[in-house]
Amino acid sequence: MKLDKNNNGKILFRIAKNNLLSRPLASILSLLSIILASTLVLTVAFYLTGTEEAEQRILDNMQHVMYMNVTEEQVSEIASDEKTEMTVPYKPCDTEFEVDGVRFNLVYYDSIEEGIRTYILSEGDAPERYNEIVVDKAFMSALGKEASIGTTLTLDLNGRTEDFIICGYTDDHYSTLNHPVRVSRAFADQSPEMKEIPYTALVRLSGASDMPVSTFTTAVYQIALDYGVERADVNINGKFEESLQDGNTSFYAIFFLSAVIALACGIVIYSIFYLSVTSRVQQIGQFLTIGMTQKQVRKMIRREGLLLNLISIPVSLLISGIISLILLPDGWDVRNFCLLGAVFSILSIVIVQISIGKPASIASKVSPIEASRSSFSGDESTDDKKVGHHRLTPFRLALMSNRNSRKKWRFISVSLAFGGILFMVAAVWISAWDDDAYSRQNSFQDSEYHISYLYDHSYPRTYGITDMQLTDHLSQELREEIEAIPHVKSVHVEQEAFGNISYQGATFLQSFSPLTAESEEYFQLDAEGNNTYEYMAEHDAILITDKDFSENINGITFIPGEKITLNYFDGKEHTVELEIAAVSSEGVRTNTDRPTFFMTDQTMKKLWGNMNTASTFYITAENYEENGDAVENAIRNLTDRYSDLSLWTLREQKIEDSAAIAQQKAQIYGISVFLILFGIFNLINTVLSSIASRRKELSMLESVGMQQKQIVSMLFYENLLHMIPNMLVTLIAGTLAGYGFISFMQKSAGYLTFQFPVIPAILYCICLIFLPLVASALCLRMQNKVSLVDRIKYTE
Amino acid sequence: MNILSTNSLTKYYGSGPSLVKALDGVTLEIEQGSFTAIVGTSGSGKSTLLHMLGGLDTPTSGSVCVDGQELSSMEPNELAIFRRRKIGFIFQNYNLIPSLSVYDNIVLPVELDGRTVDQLYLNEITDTLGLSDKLNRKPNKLSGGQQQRVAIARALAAKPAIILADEPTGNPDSHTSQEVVGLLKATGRQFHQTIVMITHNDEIAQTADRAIRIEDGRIAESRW
Repeated sequence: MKLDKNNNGKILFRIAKNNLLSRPLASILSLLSIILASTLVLTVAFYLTGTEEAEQRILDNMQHVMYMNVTEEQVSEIASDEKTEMTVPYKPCDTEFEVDGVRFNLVYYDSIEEGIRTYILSEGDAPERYNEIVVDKAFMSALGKEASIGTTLTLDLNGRTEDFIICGYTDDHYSTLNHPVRVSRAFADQSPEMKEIPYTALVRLSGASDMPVSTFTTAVYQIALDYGVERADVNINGKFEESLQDGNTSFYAIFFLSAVIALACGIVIYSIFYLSVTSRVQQIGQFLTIGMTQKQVRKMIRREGLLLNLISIPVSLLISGIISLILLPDGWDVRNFCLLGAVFSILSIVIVQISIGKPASIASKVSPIEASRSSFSGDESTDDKKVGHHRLTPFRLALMSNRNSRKKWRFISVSLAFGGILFMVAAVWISAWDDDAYSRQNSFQDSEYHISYLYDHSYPRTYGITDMQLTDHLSQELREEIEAIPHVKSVHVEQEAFGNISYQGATFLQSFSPLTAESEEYFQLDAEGNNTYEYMAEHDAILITDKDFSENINGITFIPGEKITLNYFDGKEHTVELEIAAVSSEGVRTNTDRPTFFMTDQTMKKLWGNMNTASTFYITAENYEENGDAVENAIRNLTDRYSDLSLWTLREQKIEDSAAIAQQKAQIYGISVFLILFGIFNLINTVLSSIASRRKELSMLESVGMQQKQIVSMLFYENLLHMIPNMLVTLIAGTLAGYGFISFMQKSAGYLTFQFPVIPAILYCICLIFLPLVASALCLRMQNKVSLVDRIKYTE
Repeated sequence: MNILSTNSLTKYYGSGPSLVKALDGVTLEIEQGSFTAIVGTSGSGKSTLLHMLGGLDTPTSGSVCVDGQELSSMEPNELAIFRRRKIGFIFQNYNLIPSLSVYDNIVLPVELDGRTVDQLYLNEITDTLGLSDKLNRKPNKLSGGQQQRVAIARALAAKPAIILADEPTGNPDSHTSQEVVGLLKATGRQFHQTIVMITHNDEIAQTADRAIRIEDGRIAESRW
């Protein structure tokens, strides 16, 4: 046998196991670090994949496309086409009804759970007879009635009352101001309210999930063509279409985020193992003295890491699985859990092995002779420079200790910094959330009340809201009345005129908004053609922005210079040809619903003359928090005079958003709290590990007469000297990272606003200073349960 | 006058069949200013007795009285203060603080107590122990013998009433051993210190005022 052949896997494993068992506190702390780090990485990965899974599950139970304004026959024909997997007839009635102050609308579809999920009955049956209905328990609760099968409900259908028998209930836990009442097919086909409303076919295409986007889109429009559905009546599920395009972007996001967190965790584990190894150099030296090779020392340390991994992996999987299940139950999937769990378990082992590589290497290079000296600490020591003696106070001892263990504290500082930065990012995320801003997205940014004409999409009109505009209900007088309401700050009037455009074989209803000479932002858009005010006014030409949407919907391509035919109505029907002055893919962000077709005010005046083209009043209140309700009541009193005006308020929007907000906040808070706890636990863990590794040194100090309080003071100063720079790094780098994170998130979540998290930052700074103090005191107290002389004799 | 006394001092470890009686009823009195050597075979309880006298360990039963104070009634903080003022302990494995220089290690008990170092006295100690040119070094840069001398200097620097030495001559060479014992005796006489020393060296034991032999945790013999 060769001298260098080490055929001793078993003994190293046994020694590694004994090493861990003989240092229970240090081993538990190391184990906690690995569990914490692994749990963090796993939870983030599970959460991100869970989000995708939840979304996919929704898409798996949704229609791929809606074909609107179709007949029963068309629905049947589409259903029998082999290209369609499932077709569900659907008839919505947009008219709002009210009973006892509770709003509701009528809708017909069957109760279906899979494929195209419409609604799920919690009790009872789907309506079959004419007057049978299914309602949600929330509706009954709003009416103050008990939810029981067979209850008769008399509903006011705008001048006509009808007695309905409740044959079933849903329990959707939503919050809405407009409750759906699911009617029977018989009611949908025969009732005065719904018989004239055309059907909509909700359709899933066969094999669509495996199609490229272009193939899917082609299939959709081919079906429309085959069964005589107008292109404008084809409504593709944008989310599903997007899911076909997504590809690997979400995979990269998961990978990147997990990699960043894994790096942070690796540094934490590195520092813990570094402390562990350098504190038992003497023991390792003894191994070397009796014949252990350097390779065997490295293997021994690595085995320790592996043993800790084998314990931590199942624990991490369990904890992260539970957390992700709580945070996102809809996204939980056993297959994903097993797959990700396996991948990250392997990664965890790799990270730990990489992290302990350097400490293991340090350990193997210890000189047996040096290690046999009892005073060898494994730390770098300063040279023999003659320095002036300073009085040995606890503060001075702390300074000297820090100077002599700079290397050790460098790693600890980096790991604490990472934990602190994660903490700050999480705190910034929580602080950035604003319920008000969420609901104020889009059109409620600068206003709290919107008055518009009550347009029922169930009964489409040829010229949109034009005939309502002709009633002049959104008049200057009404505006002045509203402006006279106390605490109304301003009323912005949105102008829109409607007409039917015919172009390249497509015909569609479109609104136009006026541009004045001051509408500079539109004239500065990057557009093809001539988008100057002067040209547009002179040629009565139009500007089209955000062109992709219109082009896709209508299957046309707008070409500057060509003409559209516009049919419009101002009491009389007119037809005019208008030049397309310019076309742009860009648009202008506004605080109202974003228009896309424009003409100059001069052109609009030429076409519609003095007709009142006001379409919406956007009303802003002074000090909304205080005066909001009073202003709303006053406005409602005015609008109630007109049956064709609808008032939608920020308050109502918030109620509608409350369920979505609650869900998102739960997830954000869940993840953030977890990251925050990681930062705090990392801090405590690091401090405890540091003290555990200095057990002998602290006992020696006590043996020569250092009081406990002097030791605690020394530890306090040591921690302070490290934590203050750490605090600065956390606050500065963490704030910058948080700012960057919010800026990135604002692309999809514009309601997030960066705010420096003052209170969390203060709390973290206090924790940084005092938690180590408390942890040190507790750790010392535990250590002191062992007699002083045993602690002095203590060797790792 | 007796400065150190114990009464039926016991220290047991474990229980039942694995019970170890490190000390099994030790009663002794040590006169102030005397130089006492404790001898005995390995595992006889010498170090355990010394630890009890220095307040580093608590007895299973019995009492320890040092300079009129009952150690068992003291809180850990009181013991720490008591140790740094009254007792100079020289450990067998030195127990030097690795992050402090030689000089800092020596003056540590004095400055922890808020007192000023007697520089002349300190110079005398360091000269005698051959440490004058090593004051800025760290313990890990010294040989075992040099570290032991630092430990001795530390015990002497605070001018304690009692010096407890656990094999202080175990490592130094014979010439240094003689010097160390001589220094201990001289400072003992000069500052009326009481010295209790564990030693394996019969010659040194014979130079003591009293030699106590410990066997199986009990005093087997006491010679003046």
